[in-house]
Amino acid sequence: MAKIDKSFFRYVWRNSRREQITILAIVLASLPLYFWSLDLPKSIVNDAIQGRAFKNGSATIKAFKIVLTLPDFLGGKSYELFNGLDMERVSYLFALSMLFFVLVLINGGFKWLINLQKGVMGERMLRRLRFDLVRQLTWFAPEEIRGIKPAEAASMINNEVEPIGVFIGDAFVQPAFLGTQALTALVYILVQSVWLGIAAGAIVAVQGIIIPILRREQIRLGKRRQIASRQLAGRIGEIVESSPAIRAHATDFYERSEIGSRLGSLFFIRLDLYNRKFAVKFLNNLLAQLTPFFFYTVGGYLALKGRLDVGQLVAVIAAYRDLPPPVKELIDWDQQRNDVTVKYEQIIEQFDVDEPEEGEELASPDEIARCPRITVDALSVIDPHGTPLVENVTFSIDQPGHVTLAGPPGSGGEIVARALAHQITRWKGSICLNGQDISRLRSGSLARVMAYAGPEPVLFPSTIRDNVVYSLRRKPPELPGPPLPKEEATRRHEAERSGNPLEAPGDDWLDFAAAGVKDAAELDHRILELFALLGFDEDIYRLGLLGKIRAADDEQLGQQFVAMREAIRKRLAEEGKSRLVEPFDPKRYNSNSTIGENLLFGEPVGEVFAEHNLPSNPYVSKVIEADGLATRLAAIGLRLAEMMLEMFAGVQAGNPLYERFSFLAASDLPGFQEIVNRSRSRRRSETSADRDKLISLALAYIEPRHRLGLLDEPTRQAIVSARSRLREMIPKSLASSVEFYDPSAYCNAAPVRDNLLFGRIAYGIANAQEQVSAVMKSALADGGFLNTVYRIGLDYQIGSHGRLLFPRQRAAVDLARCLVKNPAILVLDDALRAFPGMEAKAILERLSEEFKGRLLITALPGLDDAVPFDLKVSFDKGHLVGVDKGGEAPAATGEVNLSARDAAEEKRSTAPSGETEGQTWSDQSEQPEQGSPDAKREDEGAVQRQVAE
Amino acid sequence: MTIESEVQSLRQVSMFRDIDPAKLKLLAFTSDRLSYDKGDILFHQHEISDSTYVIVEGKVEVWLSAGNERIKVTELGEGAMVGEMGVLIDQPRSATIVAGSHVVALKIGREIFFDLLRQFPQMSLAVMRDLARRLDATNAKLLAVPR
Repeated sequence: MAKIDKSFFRYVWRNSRREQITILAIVLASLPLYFWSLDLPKSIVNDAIQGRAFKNGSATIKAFKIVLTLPDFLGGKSYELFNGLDMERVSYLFALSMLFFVLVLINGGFKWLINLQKGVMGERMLRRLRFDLVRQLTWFAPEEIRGIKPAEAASMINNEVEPIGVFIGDAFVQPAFLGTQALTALVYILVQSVWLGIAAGAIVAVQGIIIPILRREQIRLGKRRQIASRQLAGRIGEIVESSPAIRAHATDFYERSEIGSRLGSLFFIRLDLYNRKFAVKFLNNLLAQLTPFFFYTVGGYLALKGRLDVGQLVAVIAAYRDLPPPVKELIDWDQQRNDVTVKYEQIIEQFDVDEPEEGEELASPDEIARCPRITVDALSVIDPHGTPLVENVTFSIDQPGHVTLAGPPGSGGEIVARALAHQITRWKGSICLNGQDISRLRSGSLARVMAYAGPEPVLFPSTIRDNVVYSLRRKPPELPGPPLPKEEATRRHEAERSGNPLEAPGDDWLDFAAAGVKDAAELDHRILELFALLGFDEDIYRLGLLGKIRAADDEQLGQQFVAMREAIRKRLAEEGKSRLVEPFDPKRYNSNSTIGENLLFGEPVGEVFAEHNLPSNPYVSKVIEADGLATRLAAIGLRLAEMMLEMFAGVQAGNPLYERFSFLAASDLPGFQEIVNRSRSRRRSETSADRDKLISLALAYIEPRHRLGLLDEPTRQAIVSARSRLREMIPKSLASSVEFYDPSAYCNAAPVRDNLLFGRIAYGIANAQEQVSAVMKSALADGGFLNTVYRIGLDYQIGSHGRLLFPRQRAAVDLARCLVKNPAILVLDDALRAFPGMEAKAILERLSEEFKGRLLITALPGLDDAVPFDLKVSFDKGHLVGVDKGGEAPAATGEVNLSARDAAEEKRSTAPSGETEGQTWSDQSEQPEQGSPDAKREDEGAVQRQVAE
Repeated sequence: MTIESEVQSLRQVSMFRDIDPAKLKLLAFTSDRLSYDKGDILFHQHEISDSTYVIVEGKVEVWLSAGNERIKVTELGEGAMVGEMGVLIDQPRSATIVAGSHVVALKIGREIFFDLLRQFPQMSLAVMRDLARRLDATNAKLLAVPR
């Protein structure tokens, strides 16, 4: 597929030629009927009403007679095709009127058809244009794409092309249609009177030439406006992204004023635009009104002089009435054309990138899998400011194993790692993979054998599973052949017409074979294996317990989980741990839940029944008012408030004690002080808002946790009885806002853990949480549900950029994504930075083990010597300073002898590989004993230094 | 068991003796009240010091291990505070604490403990006094060791 054309019309014509011609044909086909419908009223008036057809006083005529008369050169004979119908005047009038009505319908139908076709074609072209733009976006080199602001690109592809699509339908049809119409009228006038024709033509010419010139400034302003509003979109995107920094430095005022001034300049551009626009409009109207003035004066003068008859003058004026609208619309069209082409060119400019060359296929993927060989020859990378990042690096890798690109951060190893993975594309020198220059490979073919994990994981707002299997979405599914269901056939037909891919996204894209699995279930299993390798499996289990299932979708699972409740309870009893969990019982108060939870005894769906909204909810307050429960709760709230005020007196605002232990924020204290004062005063002047606040306080109270001794048995009873009333009397409109707990049903709104436990872990017993978790896990394992929970964990939605995960979890997801496709080569570029040191080392050890027989290339600052390596390439300040083949020899440190080593290294590593012993890393088995001469020297150096110390 | 009774227990702790009851209530409120069965471990030697414990009920045993050897150093009863040393100097636990009977303890998180010390100078003083007393006792023991 070629690049998007620079010229708007060429692009539109190239991609919608057929449809444009079709619409044009429809327009032409509609014209005769249109003119007939214009002409018909004349017949109705003259022939039917005035009776001109009923000549000679006859009562009936032969209506709608069709006679074919041959031209003279064919003999001039007449053939009567249809003899006509006998009609009276009245029925003739009705017949003609009906005919007119039918013509109106047909014309309306044509109009509908034309508009629909234009609209559909515009949408198709819009779809194609957007798709082409996105496609071109993927052509940018990694270095270039960093310069594009995401919000701006989105604004361009999404919003700015919209008017272009609307215009596409009119691009060719409108000028053709209006042009013919105007031309006809002009010709008609010319036929009537040459002078008037010339006058009309001249004014049209003025309109057509001067106004576009005046509009040029308008277009320039339009262009400025487009750029300014695109930048505004970019800035808004930046504000969203940089909100932590804005908050941290309290620069919101600055940001606001910056946005304000941008909006201001947008306003002034628009103001200029309006000034121009209305000036042009004024001129336009003036010219339109000027013409009749000419016609009346000049035409009238000619008529008086007898060079034009009155009938002609009237006809000309009537014809002229048909002239300005199309001309005006043509000018509008021209205006739009200008506008749209400017916009189009503007956008295309931003996406100006050449299609990458097709590139070579990987010649020998199997050989790479068996024995990857990488040769880096005189590699230099220079950053956009001209600073060299690495210079003249030469080394080679001949075998599978663990290669570490060592050196302090910024020394160049990570740049080489990025270049190896083709994350950088601008370099001098060459990198060859089994003899093929990787910069000449077809895009995507490197990814088939290599995976790269960088310091910043790129995650999508989807589930953990989706993020991991992303690397497997590379096998376009086979398209099923005909017969296709109608919907699918239409979908595909439309995709084809807009140059979009025919394949729909979905799970069919997963390359199970690459992951070494048969189906989705096995793939899940494999993902969990990988997470175990990365130390992320426990997290997945926990996320699974916190996850929710839709029992409606999976009724069986919901029921099985309900059955597990009993199994877990039994096991707790067997282990003598029953007291660790207080089960939910509809008839009993659960002392380890809050008062609010006890009252609702269910999981709120949405905000209506959220705990902080309960007191002010009219239905709830009606229920708790009934037997004086509200008064009891308010009393508890009051006691709580008093105790909080007493305890927190003197604790300064902002103290973390508030956040974690108080029922109220420091800023609430004065308010509650007033409420307490009002309540304690003789006059009992507390308001209903006070009461709500106090009840709200009480709802968060848990006796065994807070231990303030505020709950007595009658209150508990009252809460339990209010609970059942709340459930029984709930109005239909509120029923969907809460899902009540039911010992025999799965609660969709609650997480899996709450459903399994169906109770609360008791406060005040040491290690209760851990013990219950262990019991639950073993019960799940015995019940065969452990994998189910893990799978639910994989369904966890990680949020935008994975923000709902911790950094180390994000890194684990990214690494699993790399591992799941079983690459022959894995490049880690500071990909373990999110893990604490010991964990990073352990993961690296396991990865190194996993990659036995494959190639693991790591540039992990701080972990250079953490695990044994087969080859260590050391960098310093962008230069290669040592190649060390194998063993756990201490790292080369210090700058002693650096230049000498540099030179030595240079010499050795530029020599042809594999020829001389010790030049390249050639035999794994002899490594631990036989270090390179360099390593030995460093060893001695290290010993000497130690002695000196 | 309510805060009020915990406050009574806390008043038995030497370092809290001089502290205003309202503040003791705050201390009790912000800490977790945990119960242990005999033989349960409060914490292990070498673990991260994340909290201090005040024994409210029962007694605990202090065990030290070096290599394969384990020695019971002492027993502490109601009102004793354990684990504060490690928290103060940010070092791992120096001993293992085992419940010697049914034990109820207040677990005061590291941050809360520091907060309380910062908020209430009299508490800092009490902690200092307690540590000094212990150092004094250790010195006395050292002197008593026959050379």
